[in-house]
Amino acid sequence: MAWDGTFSLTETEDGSAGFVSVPAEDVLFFSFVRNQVLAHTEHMEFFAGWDSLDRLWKAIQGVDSRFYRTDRNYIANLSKIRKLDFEWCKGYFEEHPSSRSKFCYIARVRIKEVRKRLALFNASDSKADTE
Amino acid sequence: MDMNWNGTINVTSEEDDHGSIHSVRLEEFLFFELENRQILGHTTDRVYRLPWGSLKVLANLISASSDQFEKVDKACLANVHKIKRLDTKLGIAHFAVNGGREKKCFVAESHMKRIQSLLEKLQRSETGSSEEMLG
Repeated sequence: MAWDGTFSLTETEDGSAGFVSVPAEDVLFFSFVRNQVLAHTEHMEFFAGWDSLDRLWKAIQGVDSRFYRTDRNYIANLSKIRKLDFEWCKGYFEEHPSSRSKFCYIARVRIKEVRKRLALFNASDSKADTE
Repeated sequence: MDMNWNGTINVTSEEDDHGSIHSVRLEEFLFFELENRQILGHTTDRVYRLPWGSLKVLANLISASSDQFEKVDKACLANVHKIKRLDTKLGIAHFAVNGGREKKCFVAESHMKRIQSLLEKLQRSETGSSEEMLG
């Protein structure tokens, strides 16, 4: 029973909307807000159900290397980050973010590690492009 | 983005891989029970922990996505299609046995009649469809 690469999420807090399967590549980041783990895609937010980010992080960290615990309250899909803001410690999912763009926070102590991992992702992407 | 449900739910397994994520088809579960504020999902041979912590939310999720599960007790949702025997006297639902390990869950008295009639209805429709196949 392996992981099929999707997250079973829901659109409503009480679960009345039923399950939705969202592929991991569509998730930009997970955040922990008001005792809920939320999954953010480009245009939507879903309830993920996990009681803590610790448990979600433990569940996916050995399974999908794209995800990284960037901050106490955020797990980001590094393959989706397009811009780092070193001053405010934010990761944006667009190259030219506006004030309404989605972002995740990155702990100051982890921002160098995030940059290193992003460089590795970009290197493997450009290698794949040239092959 | 495709907004469908593929029939699987995310679970973790504490038994052999220290809480890694798995995808298991909902229909494979025999029942879900709330134990120590955790929801455990029982298949014929495994026990998984679900991400959800509220049985009420899980019941809503499942009823919106599948018609196989019913609330049988304040702390239990059972897959009525997998119940093999219902002990109405002791209030226990018995499920398919795998490798000698029988799985069972409690059925509250208040839910017993409803579950009993649901099982009879299921049995009749199964007999009907097998007679149709034979016919």
